[in-house]
Amino acid sequence: MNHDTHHTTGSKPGFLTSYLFSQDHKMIGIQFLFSGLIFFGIGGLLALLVRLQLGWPDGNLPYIGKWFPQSWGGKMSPEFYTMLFTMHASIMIFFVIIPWLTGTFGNFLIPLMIGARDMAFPKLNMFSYWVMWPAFIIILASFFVDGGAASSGWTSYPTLANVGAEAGLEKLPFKPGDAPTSYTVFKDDAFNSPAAPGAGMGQIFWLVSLIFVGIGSMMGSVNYITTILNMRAPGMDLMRMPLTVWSLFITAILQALALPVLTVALMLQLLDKLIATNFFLPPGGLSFGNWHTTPGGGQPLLWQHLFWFYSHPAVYIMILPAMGVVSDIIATFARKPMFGYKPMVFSMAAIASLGFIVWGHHMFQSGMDPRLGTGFMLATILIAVPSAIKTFNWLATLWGSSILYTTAMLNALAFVSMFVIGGLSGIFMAATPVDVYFHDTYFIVAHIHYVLFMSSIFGIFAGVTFWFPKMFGRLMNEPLGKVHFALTFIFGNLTFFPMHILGIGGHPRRYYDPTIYQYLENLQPLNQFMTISALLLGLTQLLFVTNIFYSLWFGAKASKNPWNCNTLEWDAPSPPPHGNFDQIPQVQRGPYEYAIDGPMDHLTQSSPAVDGGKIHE
Amino acid sequence: MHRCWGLLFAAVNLAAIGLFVVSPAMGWWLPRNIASYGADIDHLFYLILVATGFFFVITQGTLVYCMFRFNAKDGVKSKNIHGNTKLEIIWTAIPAIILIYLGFAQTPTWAKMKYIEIDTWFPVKYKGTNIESDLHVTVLGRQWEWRMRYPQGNIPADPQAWADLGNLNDLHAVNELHAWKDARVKIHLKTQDVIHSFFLPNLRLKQDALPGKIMPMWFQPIEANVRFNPKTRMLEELNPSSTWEIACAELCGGNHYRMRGKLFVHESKQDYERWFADALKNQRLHESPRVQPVVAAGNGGNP
Ligand code: HEM
Ligand SMILES: [Cu+2]
Ligand SMILES: [Cu+2]
Repeated sequence: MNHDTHHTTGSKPGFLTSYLFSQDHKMIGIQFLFSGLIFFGIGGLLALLVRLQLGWPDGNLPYIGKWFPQSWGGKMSPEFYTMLFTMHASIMIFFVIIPWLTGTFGNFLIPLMIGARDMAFPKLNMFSYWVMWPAFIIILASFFVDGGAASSGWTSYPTLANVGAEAGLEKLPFKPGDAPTSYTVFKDDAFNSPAAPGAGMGQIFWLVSLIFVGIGSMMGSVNYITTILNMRAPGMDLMRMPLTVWSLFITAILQALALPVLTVALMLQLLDKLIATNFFLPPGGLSFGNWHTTPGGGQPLLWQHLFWFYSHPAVYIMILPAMGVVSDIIATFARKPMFGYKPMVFSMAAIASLGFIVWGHHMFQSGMDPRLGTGFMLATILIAVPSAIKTFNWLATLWGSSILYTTAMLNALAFVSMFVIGGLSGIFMAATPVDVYFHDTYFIVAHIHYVLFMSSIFGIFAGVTFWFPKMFGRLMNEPLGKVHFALTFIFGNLTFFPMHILGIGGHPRRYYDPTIYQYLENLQPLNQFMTISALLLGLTQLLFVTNIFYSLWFGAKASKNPWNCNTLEWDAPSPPPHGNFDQIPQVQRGPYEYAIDGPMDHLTQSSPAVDGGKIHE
Repeated sequence: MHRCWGLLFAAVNLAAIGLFVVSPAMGWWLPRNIASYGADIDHLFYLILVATGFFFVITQGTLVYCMFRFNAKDGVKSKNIHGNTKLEIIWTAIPAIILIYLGFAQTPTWAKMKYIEIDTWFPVKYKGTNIESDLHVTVLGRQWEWRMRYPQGNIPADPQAWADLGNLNDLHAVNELHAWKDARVKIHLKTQDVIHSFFLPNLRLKQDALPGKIMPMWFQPIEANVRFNPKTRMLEELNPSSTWEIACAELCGGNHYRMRGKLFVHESKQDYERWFADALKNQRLHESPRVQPVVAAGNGGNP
């Protein structure tokens, strides 16, 4: 194969081509890892500012107060606050979790775990990372544009998000008694929005940035699907693929089918803003104070359907790879075969396919026909079944195992424990009458953070710790990793668990100052408590960053297979050279042959010995 | 050392359960229910709490037990077991049955809240706007307040047209929703700018206001909190602790959090009508026909 000869005979790549414009899937995965790390920091800081405001809504913050303009009175303004949570969520979802799961794990692991030398389309793969850079720059630049960054929530619902002056704002006829208003406000700055400061230029930047992300992820997923289907090593049947690869495969399919819908929706909203199309502006137009838009002809609900048609599958894009990673790690450190490999594969497929027909559960109160709500409710409730199956299979894998408590394993176990909480809270919200109350309260915020932070991020911590030696040839520091894990587990729960209680108390989300409500008054101590926990949780993450950088240079040198794991990537040297394997491995069996008879307790996928004895090293 | 990890997981999960146990006592719980269908909703909430609580205890308990019991010992191997079809069937079927039961258990309440009439399973009739009611109110969301409009005689001749255009002799109020005990109240929810969501925690009710649409909602309060005093022309609280608030639940811009309103449930229809007559008279005293807050308005959306 052409590709192979290129790898074995090609000249040594220079610095630029090996670190920056690399076509090597491993380097691209590592690039995604580090850019994700930067955005994890930014997103985390934004979250801490949100929490500060919630903890002390009327307080002039000590020290931090100085950063805010005098005109805000030494504290953050409500508009600034809406910008904070919008950018926090957008960054964490589109620049951290998805790139880490699909970008880092997808790129680094797929070719190694299926025994390929690289991706099917290495150049396309390089582009999939490099289109992220315009996205990075635009999203960061958006903090500094006129009116500030986007502030309509990560969901960006019209008509808050889409209305621009271009939509034909005109002043109502002057009525006696009206205060004279200036005509110039929207004429000078055509991109300003009457709905919110951040809904002007900031929103446009947000849309453009996410369109780049969408294009990049699209390239990635096409590549993953092709690679997995065409480039598996001999003997690697689909049903011998590690669950990590299965999860990335299913995720790529989800992404390929759902993402175009979001990208199109983003483009429609961009057109609404830039050239005054009316996809989301209702026929009667809107009025903001004395300003009136021209009549529209669109429908604000259309956005919600398009957005959630992508974003529900997207929440599974944000967890399936973590499920795969965790499955492999649990089997490895339980030293026991994965319990129910096939049910695990089928339940992921079930989650993915059901995931396409449940988007309406985000819209029970939106004005969608309530009869549709019943259908979406039933589908949503059913999606909890495959989630339950997965949980039981993880537990059954642990049952009768012999657990090695490594850092990776601890993070993986935390994933299981925390995913249970996130999955169970989903059932409350799937129940339509109960969701009428819980929708858009902190109960949702609790749910999101149990599935995304407490599950996906623990999965990512587990995966990074586990494959770090393969990526860099050095092990991460175990004691430091364990301290980081324990503190994250404790402070994470202290930060997010009380959010359920706030939700039950009816605390709405996205509130700058809940204390003006009598019925929320006595919840305020919880808010303060969570803010303190969140600050500690944030500080704890410095340990993770420290561990990564410390171990890059000073970590213990890793052998080929430091965890005695079965999958193919551990056949390659640590770190694997360009082209990965000296010789493409021959796959003999599935990935979970642990606890077998013989001197070794496991049989790697490629080792020829079948009946005990010699292990091919 | 390994036992410490099991202990950590156990402690965190116990703390989680503990928080749910102490919260009601601390007043960190569902606000008082005053809606006719609220008890059904709360009942469903508790039903799901029990079901999820059961699975929570089973799964976390198993996990913690495994962490205590099965740790690596020299020379001891785990069993090479790849699965068990019978077990898979059991733990697929049991959650599926419970979940489908939960699914069907909630449909009657949903139907009750959303005007759906289910005679048999099919056909399902959506009564939409034609529900029988004792009082109609139009609520218009805007940045950042709720504007209420009340018809004379409580029920307009053509509710749909009235909700759209209104009448000259309507009563206007800002951020104040009035009704009386046991009245079936029909709300016509509108917005003039962005999406807002009309949220009444005590009524367990929430509905987004969609630009360009009039969204129907209904409720029936089963408890009163005010009485109108014709002498002082003031509303008197029946019970100092029963302030029922209205909030906005859909992000609608910077002052989203400020769309605070109040719900006043009068003791009786007569009491409501006394308040209505007085407020209307007061409104007519103002020369301008434009919207005016009648009784001391909440915060009027002004910072
Ligand atoms: C057992 C499975 C699950 C069920 C039954 C479920 C159900 C729901 C429902 C009904 C909502 C909408 C609530 C509302 O806005 O009123 C919701 C919101 C959400 N879910 Fe789940 N969910 C499940 C699993 C997950 C997973 C695995 C993830 C992500 C990894 C996830 C992420 C989210 C997010 C991000 C939102 C909030 C979106 C927003 O409004 O900002 N969910 N979930
Ligand atoms: Cu969803
Ligand atoms: Cu609002």
